[in-house]
Amino acid sequence: MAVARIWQPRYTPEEYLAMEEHAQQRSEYFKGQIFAMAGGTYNHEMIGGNVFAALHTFAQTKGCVAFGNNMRLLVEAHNLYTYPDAMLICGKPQFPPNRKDILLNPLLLVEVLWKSTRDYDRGDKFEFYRSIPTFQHYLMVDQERVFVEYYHKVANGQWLLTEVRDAEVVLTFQAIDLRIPLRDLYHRVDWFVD
Amino acid sequence: MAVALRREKLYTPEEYLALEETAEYKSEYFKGQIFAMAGGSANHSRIVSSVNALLFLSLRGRGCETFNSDMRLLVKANGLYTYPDAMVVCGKPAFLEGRTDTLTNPIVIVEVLSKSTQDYDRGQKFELYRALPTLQEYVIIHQDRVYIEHYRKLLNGRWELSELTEQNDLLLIHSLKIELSLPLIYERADWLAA
Repeated sequence: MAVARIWQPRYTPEEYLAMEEHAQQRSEYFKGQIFAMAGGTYNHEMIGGNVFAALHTFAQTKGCVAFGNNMRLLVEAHNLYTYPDAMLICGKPQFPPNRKDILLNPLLLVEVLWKSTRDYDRGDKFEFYRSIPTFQHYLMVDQERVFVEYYHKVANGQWLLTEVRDAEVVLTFQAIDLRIPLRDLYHRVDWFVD
Repeated sequence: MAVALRREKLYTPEEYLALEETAEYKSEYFKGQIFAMAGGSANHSRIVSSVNALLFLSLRGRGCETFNSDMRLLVKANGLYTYPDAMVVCGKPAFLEGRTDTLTNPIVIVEVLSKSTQDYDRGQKFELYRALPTLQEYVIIHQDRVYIEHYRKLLNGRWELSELTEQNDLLLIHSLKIELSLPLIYERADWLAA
């Protein structure tokens, strides 16, 4: 999701977390800076809901938990606090001491790509995510066309990228028994013409 | 390399190519827009020189040749014109019809990242490069620390990402059957200036 504004002062993580509790809008935090996240679009919300529904259904039979975009993630190695569009955790969710609003151990992360941040999601953000030891699957879903990029970790420091541009394809997540038809991902999405 | 300025008017590829012939600095072209490429830092220049020198020496007498960022690339499938930091062609270079200044068939592309374009190079630009039928490997070199992202196309059309982070790692370019050592790639990099 989108990064819109930068406040100039530097904040500590504690200051950021305190501000977030009263903020009317969610923000990302990275290296002392706070970045407001832009509001969603119709397509973004449709896809986000579709992804969550698929993950939630899967999670219920597998002892996993699915999260939508209200749950914050901390990428400890880079001190990045952010709200992915969806997450899947298998096993026990881990939180920092004394908090229940920040997750640490996702298995799968989803970003619905947004014009202003699509390259950030595929560049720096993916690099930061790769430092999370439990992280194995990264799904990026374009909201302007049928286009999915799916990365799967095959070894330490090694990932496989699969691209899908065909709405009839069923995306198979390697090593976990999860399949999501692209038809389902893009259900009720509107291809607005600019 | 960096994209800095954007002119408002839309241009045809022919107009862009004509402008480039008399321009004082290089520009990229995509979908009617012209983007000026920013100058590089000392580290950027050092790493680009090292990589081009290492490729040149390794490929001598092997029927492949390396081009530096003086050579323009056209990705025919999507109409991107740009100047990669290094490209390798094996066999006969295929140029844009009637020209000798625009290549269309690299097997390997190397980009040394700059702060302003590191997400573009790993996001949209990589997506556009993937449409090159000849491209087998894409090497992304960070200039502020020892870190290389190496993409390789597999037979099933997937791309394998390998991260190189160790001082003494070797970059194995499979399609060329050559190895470049990270100490040589980064030999003259000045980390304080990064």
